[in-house]
Amino acid sequence: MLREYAVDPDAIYRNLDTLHRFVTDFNAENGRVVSAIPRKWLAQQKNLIKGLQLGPVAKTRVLGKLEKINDVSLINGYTIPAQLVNWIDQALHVKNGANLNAIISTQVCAQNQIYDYANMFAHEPNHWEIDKTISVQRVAADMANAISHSLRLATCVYYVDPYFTPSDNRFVAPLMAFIQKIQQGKTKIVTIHTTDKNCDRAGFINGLNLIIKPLLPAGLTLKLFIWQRPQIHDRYILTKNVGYSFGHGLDEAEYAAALNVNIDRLGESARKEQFRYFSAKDDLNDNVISITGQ
Amino acid sequence: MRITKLSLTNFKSFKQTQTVKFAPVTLLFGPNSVGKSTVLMALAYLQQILQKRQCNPQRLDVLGGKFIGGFKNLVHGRDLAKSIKIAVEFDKQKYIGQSYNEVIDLLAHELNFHHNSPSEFQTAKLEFEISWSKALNTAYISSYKVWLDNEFVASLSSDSGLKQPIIENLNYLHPLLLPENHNEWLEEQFDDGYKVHTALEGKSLGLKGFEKPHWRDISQGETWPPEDTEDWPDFTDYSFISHLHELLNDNRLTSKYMDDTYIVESENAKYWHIPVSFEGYVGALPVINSVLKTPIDLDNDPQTAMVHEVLSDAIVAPLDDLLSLLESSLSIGPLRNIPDATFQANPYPQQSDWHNGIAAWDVLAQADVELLRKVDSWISSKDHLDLGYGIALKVEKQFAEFKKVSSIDNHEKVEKQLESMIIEDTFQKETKFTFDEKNTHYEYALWDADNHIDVRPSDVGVGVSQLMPLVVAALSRDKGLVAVEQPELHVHPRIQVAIGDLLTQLDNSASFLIETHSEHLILRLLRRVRETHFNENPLAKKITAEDISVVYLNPSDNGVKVIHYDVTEDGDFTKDWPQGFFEERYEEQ
Repeated sequence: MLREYAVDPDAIYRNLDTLHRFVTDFNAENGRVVSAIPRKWLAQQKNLIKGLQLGPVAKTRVLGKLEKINDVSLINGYTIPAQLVNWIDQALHVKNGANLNAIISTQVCAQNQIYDYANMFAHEPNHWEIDKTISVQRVAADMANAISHSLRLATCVYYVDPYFTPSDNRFVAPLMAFIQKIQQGKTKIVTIHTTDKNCDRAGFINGLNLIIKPLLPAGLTLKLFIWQRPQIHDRYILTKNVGYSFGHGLDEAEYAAALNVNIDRLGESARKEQFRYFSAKDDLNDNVISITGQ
Repeated sequence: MRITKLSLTNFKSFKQTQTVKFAPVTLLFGPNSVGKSTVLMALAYLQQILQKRQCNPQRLDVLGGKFIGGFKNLVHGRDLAKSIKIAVEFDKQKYIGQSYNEVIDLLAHELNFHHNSPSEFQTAKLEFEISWSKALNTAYISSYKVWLDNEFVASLSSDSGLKQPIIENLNYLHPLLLPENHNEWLEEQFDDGYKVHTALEGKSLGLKGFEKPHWRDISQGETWPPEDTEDWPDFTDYSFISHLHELLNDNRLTSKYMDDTYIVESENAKYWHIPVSFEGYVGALPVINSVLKTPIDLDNDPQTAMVHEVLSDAIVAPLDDLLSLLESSLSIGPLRNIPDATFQANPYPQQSDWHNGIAAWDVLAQADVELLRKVDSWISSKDHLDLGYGIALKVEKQFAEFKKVSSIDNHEKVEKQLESMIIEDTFQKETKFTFDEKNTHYEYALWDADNHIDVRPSDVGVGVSQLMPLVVAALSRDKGLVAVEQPELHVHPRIQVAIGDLLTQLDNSASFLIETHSEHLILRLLRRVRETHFNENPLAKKITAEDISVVYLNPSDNGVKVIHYDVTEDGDFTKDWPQGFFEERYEEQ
């Protein structure tokens, strides 16, 4: 439900129309994120904006939109060798290492999945249009596969389920399926936010240590906060880029084939609201339970 | 030595216990009036208690005599029925610290009292509970607890009448309270068939080469203890844990008390402990920098002295270390004084003089060349703060010519005559002066790099004068905590970000507690962490996420809520910031 693209500045700053399209197309809430090529991506955009000779109001608006992309829709952390000077060479380097969905540029090269932003009617990347909501079977593998790209790109993951029970495989199987995807990226910490509806504190400590810890990948830390029951209701997986709501639950259904779960990509304001809400828990002052895979 | 954690309960805006984690650089953020200054105030209050035994002070000396109005204004909600709790954790790092081992060093082997010094701990946590005594109408220390190396050691308490403070619990099982020859002592107990304390069952059996089967195997019939073993001891809670335990309790444990009266529970063990009274001040606070005084009197004086040395190392030495740490710290307040034209440096600046920043100018006025070079580099270099000022050596040579009044025609003539003598001497480079050289005066002065003139402290811009105390404190302190409120005051954003480098590039062991609203500052630190991760950090010291602690204080119905913002290795927060970032964050990427 999320695709990552390298976007060539030459394609964006061709004219104001393409720039306008860019700031509309590329937002995590629309399912598209941008690779930070070069690493100082926003600084480069600001320099290019200067060349457009926009009026002060238009300039401020464009900068605001670019900063919004930079905030939640930019994927950072790519190391690019200094000898690669051309943007397209840098993008190909990142694409080979990071499995990008496509490179959006000013030319077409099917072999390298490079597309011309000015003529997307002729050649368009696969899955360019991404549904906001999808329905999958309520089994661990399907739920995890549905958002696997988001988990791989995440820098931190909040796993929100008021019913989470570490001793019940209906909850453990999806968690481990999600973690399997998460460990392919750079996240080293997953935080579960739950309540004591199905389990008390001692039960969480035992369950995490006896059941989940042996299953965790080495070096990955799982933290768990227990909230008061009225404080959490819905089920979410939240990252700093994107958030997903799991309508029927984050657990496997007993009759999985019969009951699908709707996974809904949150709008940015809702994601931000939820992420900020769960950011208020503190390891030291909220009795975090923490385990790390050996 | 560095403070690593501070926990506050019922202190000013802190109601429920909240802990602040300290790093080499700790940044406190939060809305106005939330309680950021309370964190600094707690440390200043604690120092006043330890240093001056004042639990009910009207003013805090370290904060420049700031009026606080006594305990009543410090306890949350001004509720005198509540007690304030302040817990400080610190790491000694390379600091050796206080020790009371004297007699032990001399006579330990002779008297078969082979004891480690509990003062050899690496980390300590000291918790003070301050309560209100209705009887004495003042505040007092109702409880003092010590943890060493993350394990509980002792708790001391006092009645509200302050008549008799006691050591109410001692963890005799703490590794630092076990003698060096504990294993031999334990084997002797075992071999002689004495009852061995339950808490030592595993250790004593291990020493004798026995391995206790799993309880499931015992329940399924495996024999335990082994049948062919003679003099198998009983295990009981009613036995002594160590020679020290025995010495402290045996002669006071009369048959009258050989029941559960003095059994205390600590961690996973129960053992005898008969409370020991001690000489204390303001309640349960032992006398600082002094061997603990108790009524314990053993068979011989050296043994009595050695037991007291062990107790002092466990209970008093951590207090001494904490006070030393607090005394070597300083606090720079939110409004720094600008020295006026009549400023004269004080050769003996006190800790309290730092609060209004004046101590910085005092220190600068008598600084050695090494410190001046550092200050010059940081304030003038383009790569550092680039304030437009530097430090220059000003050399003044004063010439004087003395003439009898009767020989003077007029002043003008004398002046011309003197001038011609100087010019003649300067150009002809004659070695013999025809006039007296009175003196040559050397002075380091602030140098205005743009206008090429020396300036007085009163001449520099307000922003520079506000920043100098932090610069001088950072570069002149080699230990303790440097606390600064609002370092960004009147300072341009470009300089605010450079403050981040100043705090992290020092080669001393001082740490910083910065109360701030400046996101520029944190953005520079995040950038440096990110640059370190990608091997792009141009600075000498490569900081990582562990070098900084970012703390946000959030108001809530239960008092201040402390939230730590963990930093990832590539310089990002793992949580969303409660307030929006300024645009400058993008300049820092």
